[in-house]
Amino acid sequence: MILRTAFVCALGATLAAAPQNTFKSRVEAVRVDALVTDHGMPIRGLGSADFEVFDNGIAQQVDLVSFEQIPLNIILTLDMSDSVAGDRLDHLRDAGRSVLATLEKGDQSALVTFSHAVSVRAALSGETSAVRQALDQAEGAGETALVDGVFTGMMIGESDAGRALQIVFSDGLDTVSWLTPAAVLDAAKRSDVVVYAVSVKAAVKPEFLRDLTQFSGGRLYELEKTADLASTFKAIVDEFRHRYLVSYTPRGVAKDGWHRLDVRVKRKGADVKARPGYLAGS
Amino acid sequence: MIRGAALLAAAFVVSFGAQSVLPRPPDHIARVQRWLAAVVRHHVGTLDDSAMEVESWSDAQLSVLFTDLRALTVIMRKPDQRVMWVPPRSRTSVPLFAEPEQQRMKVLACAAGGIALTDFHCTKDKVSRMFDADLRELERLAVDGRGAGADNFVLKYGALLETDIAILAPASSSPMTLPPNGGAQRFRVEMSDGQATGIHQSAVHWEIARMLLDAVRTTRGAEPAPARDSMVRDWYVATAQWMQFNVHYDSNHLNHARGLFPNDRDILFLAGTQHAIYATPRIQGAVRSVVLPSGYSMDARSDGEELRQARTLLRRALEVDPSFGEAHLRLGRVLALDGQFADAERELTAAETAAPDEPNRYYAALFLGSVEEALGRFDEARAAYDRAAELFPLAQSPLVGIAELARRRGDRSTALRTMQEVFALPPEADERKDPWWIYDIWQARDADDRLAAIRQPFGGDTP
Repeated sequence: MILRTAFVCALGATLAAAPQNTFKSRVEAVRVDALVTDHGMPIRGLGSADFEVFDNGIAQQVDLVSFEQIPLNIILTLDMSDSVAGDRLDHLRDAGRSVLATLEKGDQSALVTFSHAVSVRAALSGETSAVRQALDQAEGAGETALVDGVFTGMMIGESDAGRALQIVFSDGLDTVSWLTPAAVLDAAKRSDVVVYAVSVKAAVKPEFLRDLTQFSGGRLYELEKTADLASTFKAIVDEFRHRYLVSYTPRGVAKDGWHRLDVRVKRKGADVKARPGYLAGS
Repeated sequence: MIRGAALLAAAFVVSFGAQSVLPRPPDHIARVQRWLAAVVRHHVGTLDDSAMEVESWSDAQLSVLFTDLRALTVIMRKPDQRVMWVPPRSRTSVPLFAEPEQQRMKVLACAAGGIALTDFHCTKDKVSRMFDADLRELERLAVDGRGAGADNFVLKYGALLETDIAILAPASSSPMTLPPNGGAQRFRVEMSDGQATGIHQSAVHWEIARMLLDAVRTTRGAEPAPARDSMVRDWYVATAQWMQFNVHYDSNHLNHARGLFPNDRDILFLAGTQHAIYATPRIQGAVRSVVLPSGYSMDARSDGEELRQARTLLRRALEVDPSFGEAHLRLGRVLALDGQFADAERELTAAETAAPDEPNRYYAALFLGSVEEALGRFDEARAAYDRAAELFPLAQSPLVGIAELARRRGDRSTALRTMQEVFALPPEADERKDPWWIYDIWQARDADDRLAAIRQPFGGDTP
């Protein structure tokens, strides 16, 4: 009886049907998403010969560089804890819809929400209606399991061979995750999923999201107000579409452990943003 | 509810002596009399009209009442006693009450103590002639109580009245009054999602209850001896549990309890768990985000310091009762968070064996999963997580633990297969029942039963 009471106290209501994901095979080559800009503007038209990749300081043969034409797997990982209500919830729903509106043929999307419970509201698929419907139904309630939610979104990204972008929104601190930030940062170092995160400015800095986006090669946005969420989400997708996917098969380096990555472009003034390394052996 | 959780910050319980005393309105003794009438009329365990009347008094009025009731507890034992206090910036004590007030307090104290007809100082002044109906009833009840071996009628019933208001009345709060102006003061830091959302002054019902119980004495003793009274001990355990279960943390409460009952395993245990809770991100986040006026500080320290205090107190609880399974569990968790994995494994293994219920067995297995992983014993970690998942198949925590463990081991297929189970969990959170989500309140699950047991001898509902 007490257990039931306690759970009723602690938990919030949520909804939607249980989704199903399928997992596909993966390649062993290392893939690096790289944003190449000149004074903030993306540089287009680069090929393999324009890139230099150093894996633990060893120059690598770049096998393939792709740009724009690669379908995206976008995983929305959204905070639906107590604090997300009213205008903030409306803004978050609008932001999710704005991402769906940018999807192109071949792109897929999924929706993960987290309060204390992590729920996969819509599995990864090319159908946006499930995500749209789940967005409409989601309500904020409960505590914040940000770290567990990010890990779940990351695993959805890894469940498909496509190019994965995880967009995380949270307006609070993690208060109830089982996994530790260190464990999920470790997982991020082993993952190809690029994480962009959006948080609301607060007295306590979002250290986990800062480290996560840094390790995955993404970016952290700290907003003053959530009215800017939709434009921020849209800007994230736009930026991600302008990233190159550089792949190579590691040579001359250890199989396991941390690999420091250095991606360069042989063009004056070019600025490259990519993940700083990866953990091999997984 | 976890929402709107509150952390008590600087609770200024001001004692006689070095502190200022609030400017007191002329009718403040009348308020003491009204409070005594409320004690007489109150039905324990309810928020009846008597409780609501006291609840309606302002923070400042209750602060003055605290001071006057404290004086009453002295005068009811020694009716000729003049209560003194030391004004600020003074070394000389002066009477707290002017002569007419002292006489009026004496009348009230003779009734409250049930000594109107037996104490020389009460009979000399023929105080019983000044009793109204409520005071006559109060005196009768106090006498009856003493006849039944309980010479603490107004103290215990008064404490239970204040307890009922603190527990049953909707939480009220008002803006902070600065600077602290005497009497007793209590401040609450409210928080949500790990961030402080406000700081308010709130009523001092808990402070009044503690102060009253401090004056409890044994049947034959002349001096207060609350530590020898089982009701006082049980009251502290029950109320501390209630506070933890309802996420209303108050370090002063448990510190005071530890002062009275330094070797009580349950009080040591609850004090230890409270420090462990203070080390959690939800409290540490609030500590980091709260903006306090100068001169105030939170009673939660750094997570490392809180874990150290928790470890010390839980170890003391186990010294008192080495078979205390839940203390092994909580100590194991604290040790793991502090990076002492080998010691944590030993405590958690003992806890899993001695667990009194499934949630506690689940906690032990779940924590062992992370400890074994930290020790590099991945097969043992997986086995521990599997035991936890078997106990609560719809809980997400052991599943993400297994997936993360597999990911760390380079076993991506197992990680993904396990996450399939997470994806398939019911989306409704209240269908999932992951005990991990209520770990910080599970130790206080008996709070309602314990409160009912406290109230029952005083006319409250039968537990």
